[in-house]
Amino acid sequence: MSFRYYPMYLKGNPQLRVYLPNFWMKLLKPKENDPKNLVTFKVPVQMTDWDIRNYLEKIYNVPVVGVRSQVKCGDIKPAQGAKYLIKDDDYRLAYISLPKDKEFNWPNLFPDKKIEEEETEFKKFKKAMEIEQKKGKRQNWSRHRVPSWFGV
Amino acid sequence: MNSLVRQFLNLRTINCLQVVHKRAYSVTHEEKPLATTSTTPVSEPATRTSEPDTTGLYEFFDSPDNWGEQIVRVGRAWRVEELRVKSNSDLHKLWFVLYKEKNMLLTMQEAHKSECRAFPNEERIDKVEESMENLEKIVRERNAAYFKLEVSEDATAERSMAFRMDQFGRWRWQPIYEHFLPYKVSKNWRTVFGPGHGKDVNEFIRAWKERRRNAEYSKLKRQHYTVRNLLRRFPSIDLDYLQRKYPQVPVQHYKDNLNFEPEYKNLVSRGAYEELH
Repeated sequence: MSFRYYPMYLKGNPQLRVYLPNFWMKLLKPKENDPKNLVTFKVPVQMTDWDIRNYLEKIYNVPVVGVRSQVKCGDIKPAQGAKYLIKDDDYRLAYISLPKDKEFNWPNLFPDKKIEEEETEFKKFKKAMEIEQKKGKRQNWSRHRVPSWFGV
Repeated sequence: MNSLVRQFLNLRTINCLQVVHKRAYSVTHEEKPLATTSTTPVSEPATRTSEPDTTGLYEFFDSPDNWGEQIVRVGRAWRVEELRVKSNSDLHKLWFVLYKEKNMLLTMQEAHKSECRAFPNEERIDKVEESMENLEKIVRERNAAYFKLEVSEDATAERSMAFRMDQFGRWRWQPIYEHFLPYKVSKNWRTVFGPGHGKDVNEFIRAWKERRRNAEYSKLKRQHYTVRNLLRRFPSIDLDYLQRKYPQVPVQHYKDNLNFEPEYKNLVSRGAYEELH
């Protein structure tokens, strides 16, 4: 990585700049009791608090008052169909506080209209599948066209 | 769309989002790929408001039209040839567009996962990552060209490497960096990157070498086996060719001393066996 490697910084040298920032950031849904001006991010472990602040201020133009962060252990779970364990990558949770008068509200990403459409589609599909299944079902030919109440 | 969001997403941001979505992929699904490949100019980014605002946080979300959709159609990734034509400043702008798009997609993926919903068109992330890789490739190319012109013909912009022993006692090419102290004096370097030593390292190296040796030996054994079988099955095979293909196997020795026992009869073609016996 020719452009990710920076020379050693000595006092008086020109400021080192990141030209192609590549740390990913995931905005997380706030919990119920979180204050309105608190924003939570999931970021890679290597990212420092200063990085987070600068990324938000310079790239996204967000006013940042304070940054706190903690490293979290990735999930450890058994592999599917195997006897060994798998560990997800560690990550860092960053808690960013906005100014007092600003607030961030999580939008409704799944509008009711769309979900209803999806559900109706799913019901249609389910019905069609049931009909298909009935077609393939084995019939008792000895009782063909005999009403259900006939017999024991 | 939620009314709460509507009050935060003003017209400017919505326009900005749409522009971003168009440019993150080289060709949108509506356009034809022919006209726009190498000539699409990357226009200047949307003007920034003087005061920072929380609207920037809504760039982490997809455009509101796509919320709750099952299919989101986008174009393809940027190719190397298309990026090679662009100027440095254009590439720099495009990088930030791609970076924002990637963050947006990852955020949406996480949100869908937390709601136990299928994320529509997950390959968008791959497309963005591919175009970012291509962009980096171009930057690396240009760095190399610059260094060749300005420094020397052998110089590359890549990070310099040194052949040193690593923490596990293996000799490896390692990327080097500048130090305040010479690396042999620095205690920090010794603890982090210094050559490994001690009982554990020796044990590891012994086991590692044994494993490697066994692998080589089994490979050689397999070659011997194939050569013997080939000679049995095709007695008139070209020996020089065999020797060239398996230089470590004594082909002539096997040819002279091969034992054609009856149990190998099935392996040999009928005519060849009768000729020999």
